[in-house]
Amino acid sequence: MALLRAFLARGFRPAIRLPAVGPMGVFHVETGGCEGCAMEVAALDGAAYALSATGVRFVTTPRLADVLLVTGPLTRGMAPVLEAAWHAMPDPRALVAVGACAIDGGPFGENYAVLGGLEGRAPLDASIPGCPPSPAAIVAGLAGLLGVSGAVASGLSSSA
Amino acid sequence: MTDNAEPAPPAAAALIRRGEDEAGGWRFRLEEEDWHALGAALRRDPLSFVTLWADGRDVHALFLDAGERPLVASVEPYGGRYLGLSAARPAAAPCERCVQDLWGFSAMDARDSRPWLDQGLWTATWPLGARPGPVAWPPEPPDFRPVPRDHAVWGIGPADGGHRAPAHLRLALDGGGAVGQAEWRLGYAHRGVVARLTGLDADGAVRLAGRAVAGASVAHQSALCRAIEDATGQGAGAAAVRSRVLLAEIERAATHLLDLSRVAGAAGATALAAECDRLREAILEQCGRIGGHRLLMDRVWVGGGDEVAAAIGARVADLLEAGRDGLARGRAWPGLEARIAGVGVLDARAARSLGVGGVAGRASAREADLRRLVPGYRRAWLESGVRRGGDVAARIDVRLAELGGVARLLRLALDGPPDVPPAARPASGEGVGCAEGPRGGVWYWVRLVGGRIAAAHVCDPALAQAAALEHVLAGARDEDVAMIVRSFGLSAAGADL
Repeated sequence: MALLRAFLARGFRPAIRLPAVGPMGVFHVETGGCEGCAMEVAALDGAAYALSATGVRFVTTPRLADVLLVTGPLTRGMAPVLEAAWHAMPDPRALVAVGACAIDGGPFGENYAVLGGLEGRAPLDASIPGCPPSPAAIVAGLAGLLGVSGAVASGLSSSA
Repeated sequence: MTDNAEPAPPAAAALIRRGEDEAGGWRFRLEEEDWHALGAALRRDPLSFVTLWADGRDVHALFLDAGERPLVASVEPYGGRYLGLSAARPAAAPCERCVQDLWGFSAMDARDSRPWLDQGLWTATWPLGARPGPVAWPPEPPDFRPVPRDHAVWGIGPADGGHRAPAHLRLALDGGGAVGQAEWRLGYAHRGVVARLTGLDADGAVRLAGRAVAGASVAHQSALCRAIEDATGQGAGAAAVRSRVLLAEIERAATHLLDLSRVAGAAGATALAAECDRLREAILEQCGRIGGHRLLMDRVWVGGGDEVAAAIGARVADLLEAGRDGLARGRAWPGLEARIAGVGVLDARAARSLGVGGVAGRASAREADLRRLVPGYRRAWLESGVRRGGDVAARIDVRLAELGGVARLLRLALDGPPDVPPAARPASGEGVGCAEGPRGGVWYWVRLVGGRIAAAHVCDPALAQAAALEHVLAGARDEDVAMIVRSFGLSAAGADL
């Protein structure tokens, strides 16, 4: 599919190490799933988790983002949107797939309307499995990008 | 049900029953002229319309006779065309557009025939039809309604950093801060759930249904289970009936809290949003302890339901009762009432004609609660809970009241024996099932052949909500748009499927 050529053409990329200065800006795109992973990301962004203490900040434009966080299988309708978001981000930037669908399509593999997961289509800097993963697991996965061990999130309860 | 308050002459229902019975007294095949007569009868008959779909050969329309008996009319399109019902039932308009996009059957006399799901990016046009067509590249530009004169266009989504399913909302602003026209562009979240259900066995289908809309996972699982049980003449035991009630109510609490948090956040009531977030997290933590899925996926199956739900039912009721005062304090936050009262009004007439049920319907004086039809609930347990305001405040208050209702229902379901229905209908290979999800009624229709799904339909309340929001947003203030949209609890995942 021509739409993802830019993603695929990037080929090999050395491991991204984001600068651990200031909060990490995360732009979240739900690419068309059941919204379950998006709800767990939303929970992180809510009052129940002290997100700023973990050094993660959700932003509303990709131009301010260090991380593109993707939930849901990539539908053909969202592929150009996701691509535009990626190209709007400054370097260094990281691509993170959250949940089974964003990684390999999960129950929503390729068909007439869906391309599937990002694995194999674009180099992922982190994959956080689960259906959906718990907020604690998502924080732990993001912390890994900063070179911090997952133990940062160990204070949070894990139930998925 | 207020829609059917008067004992009207059942002209439309009788017309349908005159057709050829194909599924044990609830689905009837109409000849083309009888279908046309049905279209005409619906203009004067209040028979309540639920949903419309196609299965490759026929087009089907589901109604609720007397507000409680599912009744389906089927017609075979002639030359790919059938008479649309949206002229008499505006709620059918988005269904007709979906049928056109997926199957290629076009509705004559339709209110709107533009694409709804298909943005031209699929691998085929009419992907589920007998002869899928080729795709034009590049895709045609979106066919938006003309914007009123002197209005500026403001587009929101599909990726704006909000944590929700993708959708594009196109607003026409008059320059003075008022929205002149609102229109959705959907289809970004279309995954082809119906196409994927086809060919699955019952267990696989229920697992997939649990991932149709995460905020209503139990509702989708239960509605599909009831449809399959209806088709196979199989019943669910008392323990299963009870556990489904418990799980549905726990899910209702969690999703109401999510929707309340979102609308309170958009209204600037951060205290209320924070109370909701914390209470929801405490409930989800309990849910995560039974089976691992915090959002209650894979907890219901054909003939059964996870009886471990009983173990957390009392704990969730405790949490809701303990959290009630905090929520009331948040709701009483100074300034909130002025921000939400009289904003985003959906009047009762529009709610009825556009088929809006669930919380949004009950906030607009529509007593549309499918729990009356769901096994396990005793009618005496259910409160009416209807409000007349139809505004953001009413939708918030209905949710807050229903959180109290969930705690009460959990206790009743744990204490008393569930209301187990009498033996199911004989197996006909076809069934219909419903559930009252947190945001409204969820319906499934299935046809089984050799234990596998041969054809299916899924109806989520989001489709009607999207249509209703276009109506409600026209005339709203631009700063209220996000709050109004969130007050409906719309999930594009449910509208697109």
